[in-house]
Amino acid sequence: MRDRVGIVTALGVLTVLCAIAPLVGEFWSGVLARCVSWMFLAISFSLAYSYANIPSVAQATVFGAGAYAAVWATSLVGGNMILIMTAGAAAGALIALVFGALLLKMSHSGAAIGTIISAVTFSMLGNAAVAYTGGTDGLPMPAQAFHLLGMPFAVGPNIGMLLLGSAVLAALLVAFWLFSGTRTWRVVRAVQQNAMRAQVLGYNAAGYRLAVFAVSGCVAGLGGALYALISRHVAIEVVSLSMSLKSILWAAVGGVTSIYGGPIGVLAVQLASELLLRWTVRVDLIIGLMLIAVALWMPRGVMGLRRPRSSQQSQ
Amino acid sequence: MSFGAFRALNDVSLDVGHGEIRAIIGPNGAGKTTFVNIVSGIFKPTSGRVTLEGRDITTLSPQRRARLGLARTFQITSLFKGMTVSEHLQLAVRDADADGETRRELLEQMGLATFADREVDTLSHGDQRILEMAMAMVLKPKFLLLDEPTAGMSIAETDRMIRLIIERLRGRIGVIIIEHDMNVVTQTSDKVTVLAAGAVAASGLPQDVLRDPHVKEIYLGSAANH
Repeated sequence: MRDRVGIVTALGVLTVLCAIAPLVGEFWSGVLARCVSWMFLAISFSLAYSYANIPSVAQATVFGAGAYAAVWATSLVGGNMILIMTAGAAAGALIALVFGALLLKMSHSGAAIGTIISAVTFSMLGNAAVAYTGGTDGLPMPAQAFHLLGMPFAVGPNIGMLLLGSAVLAALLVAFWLFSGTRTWRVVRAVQQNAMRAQVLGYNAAGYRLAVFAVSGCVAGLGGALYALISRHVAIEVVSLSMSLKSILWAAVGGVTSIYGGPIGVLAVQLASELLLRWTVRVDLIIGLMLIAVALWMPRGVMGLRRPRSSQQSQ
Repeated sequence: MSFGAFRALNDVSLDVGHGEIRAIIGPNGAGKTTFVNIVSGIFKPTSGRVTLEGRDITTLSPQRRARLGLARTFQITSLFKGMTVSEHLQLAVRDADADGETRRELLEQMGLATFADREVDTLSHGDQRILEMAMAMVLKPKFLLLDEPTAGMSIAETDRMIRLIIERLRGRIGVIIIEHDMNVVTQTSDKVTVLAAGAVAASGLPQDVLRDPHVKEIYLGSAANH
């Protein structure tokens, strides 16, 4: 079942972002470009949680792996942005495959604990491996002549990267929307709802869950690569547990059961943070209160508001 | 089959032939659903073997068993929210396009054709149980496990299920049916096996088994207490 309202809403949000970019200037374009890269992270959490049934608190680790892979790949392959983004996506998928294979051997709550341990462990390892990660100081994106499809491209927090990130995200969402009408996606939903029932129909439930988790890693890794290109710098805080928790908050605000909720959640939380910062230093407190309100009165997030309660789970 | 120190099934051996419908009855906690879970691959037995048409399938996963022709339904209706009746059958049959005609025919024969495009959440309990049965049948199984197929059904719905079992399954494939309703057991089954405390207490023709004083004591006596 394809969610027309969801895809139109998400594409509408991206279109508005791109349309207002020339009006709001470079600073806000950079903020919005980073937001777009985080949208990949929020979507990856929704995929992992709602469709692979893995409550991953380590999605930022996968996002960070994509970001670091982008920096390392730039050193190796130069400024070819397609290759850099591919490296990020591949690194994310690979890490998720390894994580997923281990997590599927655990119970649901065990997997959640496992991902917390993984997030902390990778953060510590990243801090220790200063030669490769730059530790807390991070690694700068190597100076290269970046190019996209043969055209020179200026990386950094600018309108160009906002447009590129939005275009890639829009393509991803449209691809997902098309895929959500297929028989394979129906099997994914069946496995998500009742893995044992799907198994006795002849489906390899664990295989489907692992594949979806790998895709979620691929999405996070791609977002990480875009983040590295936008920030031109990657520090170990990107893989931190707090970053993973942010991804959960974004997904929760947008609607964790909908892929299309992530972009709305990122914008709502991050823009509110940016605006509140101009008035108060107690941004985290206010955002925390907002999230409690969302948990109490909008448990299915923004995307959950538009459908009757009985059919909300269906997507 | 043991769960820690608790032995759920002890030396239970059943041989169900092609076309035979075997009912398994017994009081709650006798091990009936555990038995079906072992046969369908959800539980791995601590000892013993499961064979399908002579092939040892003891170590195979539930999905491998399903692909070999072993289908089952569940005691608690297990359908997928937000999916239509038609989508459920498409899920069940692996080669969806090739078997479109089969699905349509089956829906008509099962009395579900008018609901084809309705989400399963909107069906009556009886129709949901019939759909579960249709999903198992569209797999074209060699062997079918029915775990309390009439649980929660009205008398009319139960009669409909009995007719389906007799018309669509009897003499065609091997079936194990777990059932508490003796009317269903006597009307559908060729043989009955009684489980009590994880062991076979009696086995034979329905009329003989149900007249057995020992069975009455362990099963009907127990049922009367519930």
